[in-house]
Amino acid sequence: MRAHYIGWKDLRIRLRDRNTLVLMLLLPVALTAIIGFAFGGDSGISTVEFLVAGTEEDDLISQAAAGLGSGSEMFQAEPATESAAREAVAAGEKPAAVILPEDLTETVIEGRRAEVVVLSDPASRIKSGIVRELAERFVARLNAGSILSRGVFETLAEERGLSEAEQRRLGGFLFGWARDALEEPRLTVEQRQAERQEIDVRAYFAPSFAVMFLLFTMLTSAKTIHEEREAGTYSRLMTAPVARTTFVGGKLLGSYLLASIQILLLVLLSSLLFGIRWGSSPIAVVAMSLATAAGASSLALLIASLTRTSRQTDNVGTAFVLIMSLLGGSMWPIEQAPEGFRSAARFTFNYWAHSGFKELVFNDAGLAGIWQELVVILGMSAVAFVLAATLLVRR
Amino acid sequence: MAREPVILVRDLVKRFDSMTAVDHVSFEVERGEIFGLLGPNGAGKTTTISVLSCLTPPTSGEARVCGMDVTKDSLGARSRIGVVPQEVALYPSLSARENLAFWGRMYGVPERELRERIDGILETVQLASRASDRIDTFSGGMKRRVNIAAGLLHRPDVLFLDEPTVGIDPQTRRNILELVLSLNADGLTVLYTTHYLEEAEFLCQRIGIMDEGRMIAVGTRRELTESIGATQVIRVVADGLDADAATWFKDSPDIDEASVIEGKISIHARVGANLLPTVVSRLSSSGASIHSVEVDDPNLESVFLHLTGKSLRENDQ
Amino acid sequence: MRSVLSITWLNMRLLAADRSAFFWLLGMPVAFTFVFGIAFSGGGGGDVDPDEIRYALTVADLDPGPLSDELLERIEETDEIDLLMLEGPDAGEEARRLVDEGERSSALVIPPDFSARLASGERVALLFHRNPDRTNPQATRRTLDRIVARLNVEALAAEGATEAYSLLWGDPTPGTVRRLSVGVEQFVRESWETPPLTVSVERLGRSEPSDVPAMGFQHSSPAIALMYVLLNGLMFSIMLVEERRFRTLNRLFTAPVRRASVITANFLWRFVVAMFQASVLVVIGALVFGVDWGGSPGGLVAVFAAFGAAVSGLSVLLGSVARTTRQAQSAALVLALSMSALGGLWWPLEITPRAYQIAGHVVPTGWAMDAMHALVSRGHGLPEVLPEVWTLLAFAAAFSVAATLAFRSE
Repeated sequence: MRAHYIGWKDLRIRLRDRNTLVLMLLLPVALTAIIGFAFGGDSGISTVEFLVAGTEEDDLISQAAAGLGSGSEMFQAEPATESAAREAVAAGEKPAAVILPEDLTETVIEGRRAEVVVLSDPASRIKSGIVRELAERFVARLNAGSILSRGVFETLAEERGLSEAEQRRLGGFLFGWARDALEEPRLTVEQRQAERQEIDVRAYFAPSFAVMFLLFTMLTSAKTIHEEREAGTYSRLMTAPVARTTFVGGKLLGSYLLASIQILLLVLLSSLLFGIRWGSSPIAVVAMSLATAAGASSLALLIASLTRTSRQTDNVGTAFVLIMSLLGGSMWPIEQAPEGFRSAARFTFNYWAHSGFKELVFNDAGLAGIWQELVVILGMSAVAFVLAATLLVRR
Repeated sequence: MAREPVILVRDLVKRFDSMTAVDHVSFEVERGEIFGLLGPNGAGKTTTISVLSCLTPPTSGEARVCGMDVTKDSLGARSRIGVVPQEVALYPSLSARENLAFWGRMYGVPERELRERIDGILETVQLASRASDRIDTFSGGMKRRVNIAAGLLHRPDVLFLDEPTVGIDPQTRRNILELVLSLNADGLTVLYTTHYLEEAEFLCQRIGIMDEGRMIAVGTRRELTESIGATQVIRVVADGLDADAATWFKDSPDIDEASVIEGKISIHARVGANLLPTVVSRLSSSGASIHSVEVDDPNLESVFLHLTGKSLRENDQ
Repeated sequence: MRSVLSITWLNMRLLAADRSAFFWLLGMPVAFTFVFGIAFSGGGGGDVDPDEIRYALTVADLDPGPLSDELLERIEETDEIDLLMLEGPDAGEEARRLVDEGERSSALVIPPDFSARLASGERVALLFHRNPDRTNPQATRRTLDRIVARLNVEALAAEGATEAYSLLWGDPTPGTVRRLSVGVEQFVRESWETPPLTVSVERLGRSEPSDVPAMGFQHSSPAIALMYVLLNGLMFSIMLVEERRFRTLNRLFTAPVRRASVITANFLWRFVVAMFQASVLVVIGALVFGVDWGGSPGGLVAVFAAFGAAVSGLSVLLGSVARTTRQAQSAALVLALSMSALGGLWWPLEITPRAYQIAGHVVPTGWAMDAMHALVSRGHGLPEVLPEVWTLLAFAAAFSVAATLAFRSE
């Protein structure tokens, strides 16, 4: 067998090509960095600025604004007139504005019905959604206080009748009592999240992009089967005492070596550059990487075996990789997708590759924790390779 | 049979769908000779070479290289031949040495000899100084030489060169022809296909002429020209020639054929050169004023013309 | 002028002869729009009406008392949540494990002393486990908060009435206490569903399409159209490199054609193709996916034209600078993808930090996306997007000048 010479030759050619390196390493690392820039780090989402308007006195509006902002620095509520608020939101200068009803205080105390209107900029779905949430919480608090106070007031009035002096006294008491009582409610909900490495979007996307670009690199590798045909070196090889199986084996070997180098380098780079921890078991990381490399290289080989020219491989392959990446969750967090979508994703190679890496990154799963992913990926690789080899040797 | 020919082709047929590319072709190539396959484009030369280099199986007939059948013992046959493809088939981003090392390994050259053989072959093709440079920095001629070198590393019994001079400059062409001659001088058997008859005449000890898939003649140049009774041709351009001039020459016993076309008379004779004085004096005395005279030796062009009724050069467009 | 048009025409013929070009120009963006539209249509709920979405909540009820049952009943009454009950003494641990391992998205654990503590007026906390990868728990949590708030008010109401009674008239008799709690609890029950204040949302701009899948497409279509105009446009830089390699560009320069004409033509055909692509994508979006592109065709044309011009200029520049087709291809990919990500084509800029938003406006994509938001979401017209259009044209001018300087025939 001289397959290893062919594989080694391919590897040298590829590593000598600077553009391969761009595709292999620079692009996934750059995209991970951009995503990290967008969502990671300490800065997070920029301040949610919104306006509060109403016919009440200014200090009441300011109070309401402070109440809406719930004292967090993330929110910046400013008082404004209704027409100014409407203009600012319509122009897209502010994502949203809260318009308080006339006589807010009276309304709450007397239990009249009124509406708090949230003006939202349709171009800003997320921030205006946040403001709406703030308004709803603010209103719920006012409602609870109102219902509570009025309930007590009405019940007592019905029980004994209230003189004006009693009414005043009761009013004064209820105002403070209800506020304090609601401040420290009996029943609370305490939220706990699964313990894991602090969610760093880069940790989520680094493996995703790595898998996607691994597939792209592998396509350009598998494509060389046709390129060698087109350049005449394949014919020349066939005049040398080299069997076709040797050629196919060599091609897979070259691809596989390149894939292993790429994925291992990406793992290394992302932990050096972004501080991503790939779990505590180096064996599991290497096993996962090598299995992923096997999957990507044999899938790409299969695509090359199903197409007839390097250009076709390029076109069909890129479409295939993009759609698998889209379905399999290499481009966005698939956990948020509908159930049916997630089931479909399980048919993709990307899904299993991410799943394995995510187990390592987020759950620090050892080898035992990713055996299922390893089995699926290696199974996919074997099927793809056997199919590809059969097609290529027969041709 | 004392010695088996290096290449033996018998009744070879190769059909692609309805098209017969090679039609019952037979020939042999003896050890140490340069055998030329001459014919216009599409004559079936490249297909014949493809069958012999095990790239495509024959439809029927026999093809053996060094005694090994190309279909039954394909790997064995392939290890004894060196093939130089028509187009440069090398990896552009690898250096000359890396390319040669790769191809050497593909032909099973032992690792310990590889370096030495590469050095030797680079010396032969005069590229030792550029050994470490990438192929894509080479000129066209240098690439061609490396292309040939890659077919020689495993010291094949026979080298196939398929139209190695198509579309290259005269300088490179001369280099390649000389390289082939010197390789042959060292004992290498060469199978050379071309549609340039000058190359075939210059290089090849024996020539097979192919046309439309058939082998129409095989032999040395002399054998080929003699077999068709080829004659020398005297061409005279003169003013005042009339049709009678041709008639006069035709009647002469030493002259086979004569014709006048547009102020030019062509006279075909077995020993044309000896007739020259007679022709010139006869034309002068008939009142024609001679502008030029030339004598063409019989050549493969005439053979091809004679056998197929068409000119080889017509196809060289 | 004739030479410019002939070169333009030739290149478009070359492109049209390549069937795969149509797939890249139109097929892929449509496929992307489709998948993203479906994926993001229901806020995580899929292609169903959000009002009918029911979320599953895993529950471990460790409390033997009656109050936990009442809590669960109230949750079920909302018709928003399906309860998945865990039984057994280890139910609490089990709930936590299921969520941690990602099998369930959220779980509620009711502590063993829940009823006892509430009855004696002590504070008690429910435990809510959530999987941080999923968005469903947010909605579940919101429903839960609403019920808990109501329970709190109900519990406080009786107490408040008793306390207020003693303040005014001295300690009530047990009979009075009972009457007071019944009365006040009835009041809370009756007025809870009709609270004084309600929140309504008024969207300033065009109305959203009523069906949910179309809503997903409404947001994915403009971004994906921009992204593919950019990606394909930059990929066309390869054709310039090829023209140099095949020497046809050199040959063109030996013909009596002005350099300016060659450059203009190279810019022009890319621009025409970009506009063709954009118009087909807009039409497909409107007809197939029901996208409402806003009320200003003029604005839409202006934005796509200005963006297409910027992309075409950058493409010619890239084709002039790149030395090999592979180089052009890699650079096109790097530029197109990173500019898409920076400019807010992949996720809205509003949720990124300020510095990122600034970076997004160093590239043309940020401006183009802003203009799209204004036209498609806010329903603005051409006058409102003129600043973006001018900025994009400035990008186009800068790229074109650089391309003219870098243009070479070999």
